[in-house]
Amino acid sequence: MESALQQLEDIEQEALKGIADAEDAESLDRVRVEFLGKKGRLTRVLRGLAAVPAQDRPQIGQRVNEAKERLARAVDARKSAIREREREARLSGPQLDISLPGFGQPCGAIHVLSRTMAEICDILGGFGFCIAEGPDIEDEYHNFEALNIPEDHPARDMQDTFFVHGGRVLRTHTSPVQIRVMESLQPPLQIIARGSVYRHDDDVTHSPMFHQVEGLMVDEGVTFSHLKGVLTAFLQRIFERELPVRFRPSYFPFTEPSAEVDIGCVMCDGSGKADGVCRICKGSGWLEILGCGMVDPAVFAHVGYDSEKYTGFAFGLGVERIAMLKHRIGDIRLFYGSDLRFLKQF
Amino acid sequence: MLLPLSWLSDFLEDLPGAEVLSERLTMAGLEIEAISRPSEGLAKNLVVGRIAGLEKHPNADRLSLCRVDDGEGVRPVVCGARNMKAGDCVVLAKPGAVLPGGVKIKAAKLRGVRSEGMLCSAGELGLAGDEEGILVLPDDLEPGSPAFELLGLNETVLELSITPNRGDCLSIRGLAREIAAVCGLRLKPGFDCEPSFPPAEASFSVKIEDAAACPGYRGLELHGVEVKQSPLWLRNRLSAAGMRPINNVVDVTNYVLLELGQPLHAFDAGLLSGREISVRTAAETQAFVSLDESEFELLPGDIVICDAEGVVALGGVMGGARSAMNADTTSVFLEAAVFAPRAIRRTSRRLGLVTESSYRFERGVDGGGLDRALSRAAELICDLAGAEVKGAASGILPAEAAPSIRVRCGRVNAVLGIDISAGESRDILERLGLTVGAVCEDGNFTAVVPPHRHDLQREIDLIEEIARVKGYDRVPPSMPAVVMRQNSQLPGEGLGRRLRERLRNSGLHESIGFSFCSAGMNRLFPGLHRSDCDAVQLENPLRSDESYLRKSLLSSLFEAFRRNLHNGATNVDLFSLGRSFCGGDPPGEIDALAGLLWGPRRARGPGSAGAATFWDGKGVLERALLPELGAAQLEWTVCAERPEYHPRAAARLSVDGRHLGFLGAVHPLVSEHLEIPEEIVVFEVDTRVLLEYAPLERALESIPRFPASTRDVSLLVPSDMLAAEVIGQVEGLREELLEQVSVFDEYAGSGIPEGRKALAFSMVYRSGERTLTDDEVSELHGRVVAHLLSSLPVALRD
Ligand SMILES: [Zn+2]
Repeated sequence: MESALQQLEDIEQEALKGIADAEDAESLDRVRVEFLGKKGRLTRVLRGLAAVPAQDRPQIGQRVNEAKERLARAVDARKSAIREREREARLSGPQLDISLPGFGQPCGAIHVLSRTMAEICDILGGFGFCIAEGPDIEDEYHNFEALNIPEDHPARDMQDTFFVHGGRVLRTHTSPVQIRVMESLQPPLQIIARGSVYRHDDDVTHSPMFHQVEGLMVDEGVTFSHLKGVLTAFLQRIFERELPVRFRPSYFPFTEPSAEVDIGCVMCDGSGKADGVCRICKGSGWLEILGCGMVDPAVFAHVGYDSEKYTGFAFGLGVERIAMLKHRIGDIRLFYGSDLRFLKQF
Repeated sequence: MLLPLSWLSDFLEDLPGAEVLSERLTMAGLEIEAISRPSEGLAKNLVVGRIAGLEKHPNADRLSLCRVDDGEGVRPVVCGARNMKAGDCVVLAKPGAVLPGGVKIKAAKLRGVRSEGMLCSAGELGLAGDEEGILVLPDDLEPGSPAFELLGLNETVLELSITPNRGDCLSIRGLAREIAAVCGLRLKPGFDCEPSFPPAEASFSVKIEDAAACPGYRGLELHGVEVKQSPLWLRNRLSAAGMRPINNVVDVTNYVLLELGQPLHAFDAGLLSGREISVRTAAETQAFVSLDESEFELLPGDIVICDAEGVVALGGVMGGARSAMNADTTSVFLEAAVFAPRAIRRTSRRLGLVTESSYRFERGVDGGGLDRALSRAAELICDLAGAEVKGAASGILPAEAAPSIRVRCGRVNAVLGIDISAGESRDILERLGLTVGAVCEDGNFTAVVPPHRHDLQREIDLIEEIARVKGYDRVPPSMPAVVMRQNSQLPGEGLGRRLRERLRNSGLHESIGFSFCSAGMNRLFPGLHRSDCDAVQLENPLRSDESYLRKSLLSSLFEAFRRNLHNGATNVDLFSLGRSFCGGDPPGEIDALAGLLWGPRRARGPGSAGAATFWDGKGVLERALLPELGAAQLEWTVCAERPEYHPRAAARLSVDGRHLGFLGAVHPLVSEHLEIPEEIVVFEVDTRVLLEYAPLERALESIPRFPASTRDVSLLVPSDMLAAEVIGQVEGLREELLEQVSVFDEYAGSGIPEGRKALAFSMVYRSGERTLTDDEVSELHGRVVAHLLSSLPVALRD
């Protein structure tokens, strides 16, 4: 019996050493199988009990089971230790470079003029205006005569015109769309005409092609006061601030009374000063932003509206102008240069 | 229009400062574009000097060394001009003076000789005039007296932008009248006094053959004229108003034009033939030499002034060379007339001859001012040129009935949306010079327009005047009551926004280009219009390479591409939504979408990583267009006949058999022609077709309950065969359990026989009722493959 116990003691010591020496889960498992497995050495000790005197068997069996439990605990402990060490190793690896760029489809861009145009149309759409379109190549009647700009009238100087072979013109404003709509619909109506327009003009501040949005509202009882209300609300929405708006008398052949609308300079907040004299408003504190007025009765006469019954207002604004002010774009030619370094910014 | 304030104050009492005036005029519709103030750096240190002595610069042939008396002493001044002599009075800028250009005068050594100041030319002082050399002043001036005011440099000048309806504001006197009304200022006494026309016998007769072209003509003959330089005050005023002084007689006609707005012309009376002036419209095409010796061709309808020999002036535009004033002129015939605005405008625009005179006639000259202008001019010429009035001439004088307009108080308020009394409206119009009647019980009154306000014809014109003078800022803003109606949104609006969004998400950048292009670009890119249509040509292009409207958006995209290449871009993915044009009656306009892809990209689908391929473009287009087409599908057919596309790598797109556009690699000739790289993929689509489809309203399809089995097959097929043919054959079997067939690889090259390529397909089999067994699927797949092998010239790839 002594020798059996001694043998058991030796096996346990050997197993504990094996467990302690196991460096990874695999070698630990090999040790576990060698000592604790179905055919392991401790099991073999139990099987060898036949050679032990019967009265000693329970004691030895109990000692074997105790040894098994101790070893199983040692294996578990060692297993946790190994797992912990491995986790530690994984967590202490090199820092991921989180500053590397993300993967995926690079995004393109929608042109800043399209975005501005959409913003303008959305705000006016909210006021009840519907969008209308017309041709870029117009006849002189719709572009001029119907808008009370007769031939040989100096008002034609206000709009340098591109002429097309065959007697047509490139529209100089989107106002002919208003005529086309009024020719086909009766009041009340509330429309915005938008699109490209063309002027025979090319310098730092003028582009031969640019974009306009024009509004027209005709109904009984529409007044100049309404025109002021609608445009003031529009300008404060598009520039997203309570900026001052002023209306001053001007002249357009198709409106009477006519007005030019100024907003408080967005650069210097109307002070006229920004690093010396403000470059945007040239020190005046005001920026000219759009033209407008009450529809001239002569225009109504051309489309057969009764100007005693109906009154209306119209306004026209340059999309480039608004985009330039909103995004601090200094040169109108950038819009048409298609330079990716410009396009990507919006 | 330049308005020197000292000149304005000849007519107005108590003129406010430039700032205040500018603000009030701007708010009354007379926009002030700029205020130019006297230069402070110049006010000091600018004096009259007298040249006490003059010699050559010892070290420089082209320079002179002047000894200049500045009133306190004589100082040396080196000068490069040659037009002065000893005894002349000149303008001396002493050290410390700052010239209008910003040059600061310092004492310095010039070529070894000390120079203490500078003798100034008119240009250097910012005065109008382009005479060579320095300014020589009258020699009765006192050396050392300040030259700043003497030269009118202390003038403040407003630059006004006058709208085309206000011809009456194109003169100092007209502006004074307007400013008095809108600013509530008092006019100087005598403003409205009738001029005293110099008494004279008629020495010329005037025959007006076309009274519509010339409703009024007056003339004065002056003798004993001595043509010479005008006095300083006159030259200063002309300069300040932006006109170049010439000689006393011409300067007076310009002075009167600026002051009263009535254009005058001075003929050399000695060069006129006969004693009759006739005014008519040219009957036939004829040549005319203007007083600046330019030749013009006159057409019937141009207004001409003639003497016995023929045309002496182009009426209202410019005088002729034959009767032009010159240094030997001693007698002058002064013309003051009114011409029909439209005829003047037609002539002036056709000949490209816009003069101060034509500009005013176009905008309407008040016929009542002829005598005032002639008597003012006569007075000045007699005074400055020692002349006397010798005779007169007179044609029909205008007798226009001034329109009388009824103003309804209710209408004024209905248009403006304010509450202004009839009395206040009446007062405003009276201030503007209208003759107003008493206010009737109904609040209405009549107003008679003065002759200078020919822009006021209708009640609405007067309503504008009432609002303008009252002040637009006195109209309170208010929101109209809007009738809510069904939203009839433009269908293209939503489409454009959705396409932009999807193309942006596919990595493309929106480009907006001009509608213009060259004839060459239109030949390269015929676009989506009928192949036989002409391009739209401009009559007056800004540049020769922009003389057509584009037939295709691709013209603009290729310009954009070239510019980006030039800027060093390595990847250019662009799209554009816009219009393309073709000739016809009416001309054709297509709303189109075009795109251009170039540069390396990651592999997506078949094909290797690297340059943009047809399939990159196809992916972009499918993602953009398919959601618009509802249940309809895009149809792709090989397109080998378009000149701009590669004949072996392009497709025609259609939907329900309707032509939509093209997609393909660019033809190598296009790249050669434009000197750009190859491997560019472009597309162009007519978006109007898309408007006829509506995005699909989706209903949920049930999610499969049983698993699918996938089998692949790799086939060797002829190089020209499209994968779509194989797929078409498979789909033609209508195998119920075959859920999907797709191509996942295309390969040609090593290991593949010449003239063939490998295509790999993937078939997905599934039943809606049970899980298919392996054997079932293999049997099915075998049948499908066998069908392909028997019906197409294809073989299995080992
Ligand atoms: Zn500013």
